[in-house]
Amino acid sequence: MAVDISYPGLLLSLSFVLLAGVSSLILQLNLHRDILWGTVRTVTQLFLVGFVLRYVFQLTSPWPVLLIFAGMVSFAAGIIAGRVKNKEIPFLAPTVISMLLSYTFVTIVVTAAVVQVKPWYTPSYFIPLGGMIIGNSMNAIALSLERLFGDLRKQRDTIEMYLSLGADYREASADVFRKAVGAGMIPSINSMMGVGIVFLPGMMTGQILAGTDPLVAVKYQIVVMLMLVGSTALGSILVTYLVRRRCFSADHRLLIGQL
Amino acid sequence: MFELRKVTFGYTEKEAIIKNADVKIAKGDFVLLRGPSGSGKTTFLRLLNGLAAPREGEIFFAGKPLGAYDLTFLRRRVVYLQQTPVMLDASVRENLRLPFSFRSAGKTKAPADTELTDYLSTFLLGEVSLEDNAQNLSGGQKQRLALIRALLLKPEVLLLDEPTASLDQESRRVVEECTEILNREEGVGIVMVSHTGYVPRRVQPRVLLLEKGALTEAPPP
Repeated sequence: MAVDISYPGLLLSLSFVLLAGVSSLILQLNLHRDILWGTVRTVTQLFLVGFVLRYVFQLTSPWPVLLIFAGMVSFAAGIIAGRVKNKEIPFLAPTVISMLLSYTFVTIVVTAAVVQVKPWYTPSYFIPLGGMIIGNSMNAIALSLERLFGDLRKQRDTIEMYLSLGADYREASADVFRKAVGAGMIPSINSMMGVGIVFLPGMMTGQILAGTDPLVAVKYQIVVMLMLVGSTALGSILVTYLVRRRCFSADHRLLIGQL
Repeated sequence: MFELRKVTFGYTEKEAIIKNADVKIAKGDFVLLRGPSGSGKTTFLRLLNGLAAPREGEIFFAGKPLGAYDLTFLRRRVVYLQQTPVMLDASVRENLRLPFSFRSAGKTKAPADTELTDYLSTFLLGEVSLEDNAQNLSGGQKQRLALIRALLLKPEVLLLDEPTASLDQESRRVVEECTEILNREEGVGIVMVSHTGYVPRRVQPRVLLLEKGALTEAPPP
């Protein structure tokens, strides 16, 4: 078991923030309000989630676990919607659908078949593993969508050249589709190259600090890295596929970037 | 061939580039579309090709509304040539054969090299090799290449957006001659945006004037 951190110890860690705040005041960085607000939010949000997780980990039915998972996915989809600059094409619904389908599938495969925890929805496994998938793949999906919308606008003339000669929307946007999916997948592939050498992943570090045998922690980390590659691929492909369809009318007109 | 009934188009709800356009274009017509820049001439061609859809009104082709067609097939019969030609970063051969790789080509065979080189020499592109990268060609060469790519589809109608804008006098003469002959001898309908004060010599054109959203018939040149 890990050594528990005492409350005085936790208070002492506030001195790091104090240091940052004082530096901001002295150097007139004007960041002290953000530092204070950030500290309050970090402590409150994490304690809140700690209490919620204590409750959630006692759940014994799959439905509330899946409901919480769906809530996490919807929240992540909301963040993506705020980040991706596009007002012409509604993409929230296809994003939520793709994330739900692909991430539920990958998380269930990991808990049921790889880790083989029984039952598969055991919240202390399903929620953190699912959360890691959602958190990482959220970036992948945002990257894919940004690339998709950006390239469809930028390559409007090329796409319309295809369409005007009788291509359907898939043929006209095949190159854009490939690049958008690739943009989402590349970061998770790159992180496989640097893991263990360039950086030690947070989950493995956390497990080691919590007293887990490093080799067990490593095995978990390998599973996590591989499942992230799979989930980002699946999520990026599905979301790009569904959202691309919405960028064209039923009669193969490009609906984006007309102004 | 084409009939527009009360067609209105605008990119936003507030403004309309084309208002209540009512016009019939008969099979084999040679139409010159004129009007000041920004008056919606390109938009008019895009509407006929189905790249843009009217906000109000309806467009008919051969008696049926455009909505009744699978546009991927119709666009091969009614080919629209963009003002700025787009070539892929690939050989001249691949660019010319591109439309034959689409699903809508069905079992139609891609044209053989001999046909492609014949077209190249007709359009004074004899010095261009089928292996050359099409993106490295000049603007005028690309424009003629785009026209050849359209002609290879044996279209019933050609929608041409200033097809001679970046051509020298000799190439311009060839392109104009070719479109006129296509129209006169093969009955290919031509709708051409043309700023240049071009007056066809082999065919009697119709002139449509697009100004301040209104489409009107003007006396032939």
